[in-house]
Order: sequence, then C-alpha cells, then structure tokens
Amino acid sequence: MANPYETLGVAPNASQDDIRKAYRKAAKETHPDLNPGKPEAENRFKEINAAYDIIGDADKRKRYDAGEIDETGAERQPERHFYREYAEADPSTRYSRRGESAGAGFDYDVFADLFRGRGEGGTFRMPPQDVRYALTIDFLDAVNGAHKMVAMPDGKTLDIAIPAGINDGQVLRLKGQGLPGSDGQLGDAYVEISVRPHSGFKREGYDILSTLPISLGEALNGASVHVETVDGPVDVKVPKGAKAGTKLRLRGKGVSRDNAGGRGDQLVEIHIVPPEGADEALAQFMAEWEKTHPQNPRRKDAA
Amino acid sequence: MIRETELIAQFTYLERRVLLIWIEEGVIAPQRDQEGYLFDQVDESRVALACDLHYRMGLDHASLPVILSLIDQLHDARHHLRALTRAVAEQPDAIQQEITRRMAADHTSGN
Repeated sequence: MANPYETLGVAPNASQDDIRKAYRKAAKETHPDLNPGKPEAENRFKEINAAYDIIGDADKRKRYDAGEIDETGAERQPERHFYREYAEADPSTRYSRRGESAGAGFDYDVFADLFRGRGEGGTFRMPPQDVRYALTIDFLDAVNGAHKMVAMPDGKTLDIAIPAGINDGQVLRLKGQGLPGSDGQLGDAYVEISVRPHSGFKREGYDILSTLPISLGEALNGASVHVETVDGPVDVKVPKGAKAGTKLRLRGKGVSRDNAGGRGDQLVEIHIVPPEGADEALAQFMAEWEKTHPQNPRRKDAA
Repeated sequence: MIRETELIAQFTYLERRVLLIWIEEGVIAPQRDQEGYLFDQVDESRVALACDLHYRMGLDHASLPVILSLIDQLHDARHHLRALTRAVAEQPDAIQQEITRRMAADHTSGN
C-alpha cells in the first residue's frame, strides 16, 4: 500500500485539520454511494479510508511516523456492501422516492424532456468543468522552480511549470486543462501545492534559514567554509571571534520575490561545536585559562 | 436480520443515541416487532453510509436527511434510466441506431 500522506495528497507535516479536510474532499469524490456511476471509485475510496485510518488519528499517526506501525497497521476493513448495491436494484426498497409520483410507476417525464431537447437541436447544456489536484514537491523545486510531469486520472500527462518561490498551500491554475463542457469549452485545472520540508533549509518569507556548525578553533581564528545554499555550495568567511547564534547574511541566496524581482537572503546561524576528543591537555589548559579569564555564561547579560 | 445491539457493535463510532435520531427522522427505516427494531442488509449498508457522512465527513444531523434524500433520488433516476435503456434495447435495430446516432451527435456537437 502507498504512503498514506501521498494517498491523501497532504504533506507529512500537515496539521490534523488539513488531513481531515483532504480526506473529506477525497471521500466526497470517491465514496461509492456518492458516485454510483463510477465503479472505479470503490478501490480509491478504500485506499483513502485506509490512509485516513492511520494518519487521521493523531495517536496512530505518531506511531506510524515513528515507524511502529506500517501502512497496513490499521485494522483491515471488513468486506463491505455499499448502499448503491441495493438502492438501484430493488424497486420495492422503502427508501425509494419512486412511489411518490402519483399513479405513474416510472417518471419518464424527465427523460422525455431530455430527449425532446436533443431532438430539437441539442439544447441540453453542460458547462465546462474545473478539476482539482494535489501535488507534493521537494523544497528545492519550490524555491528554484521546476517542471513536473503528472499523470492525470484520465490518462493524459500534464506538464506543470512550478514557478520559483511557490509557497506551501498555493494553488496553481492551469487554464484549459479541465474537462470540456457541451460547447467544447474546457474548464481549468487547479493544482494545490504541498512543499516537503527540507532537512537543512527552512523558509521564512523570502529568506532561507540554515545553521552552520563550526569548530571552536574556527570560531576563534576565523575560517573560510563551504556553506550549502539553495543554488549549491558557496565559500563563506566566518569572521574571527564569531559567536554562537550570530547570523551571517548571504545576500540574494533566498527565494525569488514574486513581482518585485530579486531574491531574499540566506541567513546562516552559527553553531559552535565543542572540540571532539578533548583530552586531558585541553581540559587542563581550559582550567588554567579560565582562572585568568573568569566567565559566567549564565549571567543575564552574557552573550 | 439483526437487532439494534448487533448493528451498533458493527460500527466503531456509531452511538445508540444517534441511531435513534436517524430512525426518528426516517433516515433509517428498519422493521420492528415486539422486541424492537430489525435491520436487514439494506439498512446496514445505509447505516454504514450515514456513519461515513456523519462521523468521517462531518455532516451534521440537519443535513444528513437532505443528502440521503438526494442520494435516493439519484438512485431512482439511475433506475429509471436503466429501465429506459432496457426499453430502447427492445426496439427494432433501426430505431436503436437512430437514438444512438442522435445522442452521439449531441454529445460531440460543439467539440
């Protein structure tokens, strides 16, 4: 079975509320009883139900995220008979409204109207229909822009141009990629974008945030180090005496601004890593040094 | 046919109170005898649908009868359409072809 997040078209960090919304939308479109004319809806509905059974429940979702249960961890759904199996077949069912039209067993009027309309030159009209999709993309594709080939349920492939700088939750409108109406006009496709989080970068407005681990020696003496940016690695000078928490600004290494042009910056927060394999010599040196340079980093005004 | 307790046991979420509201509103119309309600397969599948709509898709009690009534009308319409299709299928070939031709022409007109 597929990843439940992908099945429901939500990001792994989506809120429970977003997951509930995505489920309801998908259920509306695939519940066999709400889509009696779509035999294929049943399998899809079972998939989204199984996915929702896991990540729709905050506790189960935690266990799934932690790897404690897999996609099949939810209880198996017993063989189910959908209402549509009975509703259409049995004319005597007590839920039917058929008996209500006086006298007539069959209410043919509606079809008679339909056929009359067609006979007189096809006045039966259906408006073009919009369709909605969800697409999850990688963080770097969202920042830099990308082209995504996406297979549509009707078998055709759509080339979606993701504009650089797109945000999580934004909706792309693809004009003319929806379904045709009776006049041949095409509806539009709407693609809701979810952005997968990145392990090294965070986005804040048009800026990219990242952390840069440096050694104590590099902090004291300054250094030139490789820093990952959304464009690839660049060399950055760490100033002599750099403090933990200092943010270095890499101009223009952020996210494209929609209309204003230009890009935001990358803010690199310095994180000083204590010396690895510190030995007795270093410990003794520090003890001696601290005698002459007393310091209490827990003081309120300490850096 | 099953009893109320057996029915409730089949659905994880279903509360007795809610089931009784549905019966009162006619959303579910089980048979009954001296001992209480009796549910057949049609009722069961309908309870399953009502549970999906209410507990999982968030429909409130007021909208449930409306939606179910629309679903029933949809099934009725499909039932009629099926009857119509059968009636057409019993007609001579020439008439059938004429009907299919007209429908196809309408379907593609404007494309």
